[in-house]
Parts: sequence; structure tokens; C-alpha cells
Amino acid sequence: MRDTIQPDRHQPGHRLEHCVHLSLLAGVGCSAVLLIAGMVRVIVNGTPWAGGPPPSLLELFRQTEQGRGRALLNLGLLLLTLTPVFRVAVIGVGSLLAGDYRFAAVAGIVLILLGISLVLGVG
Amino acid sequence: MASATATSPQCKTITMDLSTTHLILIISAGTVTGIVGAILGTGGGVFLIPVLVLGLGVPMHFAVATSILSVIATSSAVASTNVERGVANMRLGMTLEIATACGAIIGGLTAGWLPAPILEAVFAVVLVPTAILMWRGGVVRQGSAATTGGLSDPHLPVSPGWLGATYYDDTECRAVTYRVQRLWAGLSISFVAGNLSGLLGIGGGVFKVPALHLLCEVPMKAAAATSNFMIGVTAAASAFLYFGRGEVRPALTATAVLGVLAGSRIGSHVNRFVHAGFARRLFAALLVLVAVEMLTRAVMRGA
Repeated sequence: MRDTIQPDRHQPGHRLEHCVHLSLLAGVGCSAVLLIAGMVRVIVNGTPWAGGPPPSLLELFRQTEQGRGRALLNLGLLLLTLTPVFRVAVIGVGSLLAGDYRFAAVAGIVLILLGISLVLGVG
Repeated sequence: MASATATSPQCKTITMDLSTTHLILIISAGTVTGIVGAILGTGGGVFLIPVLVLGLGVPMHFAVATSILSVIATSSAVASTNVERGVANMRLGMTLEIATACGAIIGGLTAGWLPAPILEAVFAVVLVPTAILMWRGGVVRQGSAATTGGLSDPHLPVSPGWLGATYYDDTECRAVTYRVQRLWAGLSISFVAGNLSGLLGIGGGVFKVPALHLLCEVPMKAAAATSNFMIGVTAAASAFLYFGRGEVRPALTATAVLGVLAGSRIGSHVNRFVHAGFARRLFAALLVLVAVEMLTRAVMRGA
């Protein structure tokens, strides 16, 4: 009885939900790994804790390649912040492919607003 | 820990030196916040900010930025489960995110102009209605079955419409279908909640959940899951502004985020052993005390 009324995981709508679930999980998981790695590097190397504005993206990747603790932390936090943005993009593309144009338009508007915030903040 | 060499939010010459002791204290504060958040069903920002500001001496703007990133972490982790289970209403959540994102951007921009004592005073004032809603939370939850307007009755043929949804309720062992009423009310409250989130670093779920439930007639479980689903985007909308102003301190924020993530995992396991109604009222009372303490501090510093 219970199984018959539970949502069908093979329905197109549920596939989108599964993709959203995976995108959120991947974002949090990857950022947690980067944050833990960064914390370990900072503690081991005894890097000063003092902060400041984040470096440019190019500089951040260069510092991450060198294994700098603070760069790993900044990248982890940036990835964490981008996780909900990625989730919105997944919903937008998914609903577009499913032919749900109204939902895709809503996702597009939210993405534009997040883009405005990105430009205002770090652009 | 923090020595403020300038009080203006435009001057970013505040230095922060974190020792290993501070690291342990921050991760502990984050863990406790995560546990409390999981038990009470909140993002935890209302608890994390006072602990950082009053307990550890972290400047208000840094505490808000830290809280915003922590809110993104908990929201993303919890929403991933709620979306997979079909409890979070993605269409309603995304529609309301338009309002919350607008509010969060305005709030995040405003926070950049406000001096710390003013921000602390506003935070203290907002804590009072938060505490009242938290105190009454048990009453709303108990009344949820009776206030869905019969829409969740499995014997009634209900069309969910474009914004409504159907989810499977594990505790009642049945599918629940509902329509969304008074979308304008949901949009209005979402804008205000988003504004408070961007300004003060709180998730705003304590305002959105009752509004979705009582005004939009969304069942309580779906209202809480949908609110949590939205919080991540709301916080991200203002997080970029805090990043740009250099108020996201990597070590401080990363430590708190990891603590909150661990705490929310622990909290989701221990919450079945905790009497939620008692915990809710205990922390509501605590919030009032924190509000008084923060307001006093803000007035003293402002003077």
C-alpha cells in the first residue's frame, strides 16, 4: 500500500529532483573537503589567520595549485556560495529540457538576480 | 581575538588573530548552533551571531557574513534530502526566491552602510518577534492538520495547480496534496525575510514557515522544507556582497561552517530524544535575554 502511493522515482519530475539532490550534495561535499584540507594546511603551516578581501579568481586558483591553506579555504567558501546558484541552473536547464517553460523562466529570473549580486559584490 | 581599529563599516582595517583556542571555541559554537538548529528546525543564525559577537568578540559584520555562509551550508545539506523525498516544493520555492533574492540584495547592500552598533541594535530588535514566533511554534505545528483547509484530505479530489504539490507523509502514511493560496502574501513575507537575511545573516525561516502555513495554506511539513530549500539562494544572494567587502574571513567562516555542518548531522540524530516544545520555549526565552544584552551593548557603543 505504502509503495503504491509513494512518488515514482522514474517520473521526469522526480529525475529533476534527483539531479537537484545530487548537485546540492556534491556542492556541500566538495566544499567541506576543501575547507577541511585548507584548515589542515593552515594549522600545519602556521599561516596567519588574518583575513582580508579575497584575491582575484585567477590568483585564487594559482594559490590553490601551490596548496596554500587560505586559498583552499577561500575556494571552499566560494564553492559553497555557488552551490545554490548551481542548483538553480540545474533546475533551469532541467525544466527547459522537460518543456516546463514557465518554471525555466522563473529559474532564469532567479539566476539573473544572483548574477546581479555577483557583479555588485565581486564583479 | 578581534581588535577594531576603525568603527566605520567602510574602513576594513579590522584585524583578527585567531589562536588554536579560538579555533576550538568557534568550532564548538558552530557545532552547538548546528545541533540547536536541527532540533528547532531553524538555520541557526539567530544563535550563531550572538555567540560570535557577545561570546567571542567577533565584529558584527564578520559574524553576519559567517552566519550567512553557515546558513548556505545547512540549507544545502538539509534541502538535498527534502528535495529527494519530494517534501520541498521546488516550484513554490523558486517563485518565492525571486522575492527573497531581491530582499537579500537590498539587505546586503544596506548592511554595508550601517555601523556595527546600529546593525547590532536592529538584530536585537528582530530577535524579539523571532523569540515570540519560536515560542508559539509548537502551537502552530500542533494545529497544522486542522488548518490546511481540508486540502490535504486524501478523500477530496484536489488539483494542486501549478504551484501546489503532492508529497508522501511518512508519519501519516499517506500522500498529501495541496494548493497554494494567497501567493502575494507569500511573496511579501519572503521579501521581508530575504531582507532580514541579507541585513542580519539569519535564515528567516522563523518568519517564512508560519506565513507559508497560515497564509498560503501549505502543510506545515512542506512549508518548513520549502522554506529551508529557499534559504540557500537567499543567503547566496547577499553572500557575494559580503565577499566583495572582505567581510568573509576564511579561517573564522570555515571553522564555523564545519562546526555547523557537524552539529546539524548530530542534531538530526538527537532531536528524536529531545522534547521539541520544551527546547523551543527554552531557546525562545534565551533569545529574549540575548536581545536585551545585544541592545544594551549597541546602545553603550553607540553612545
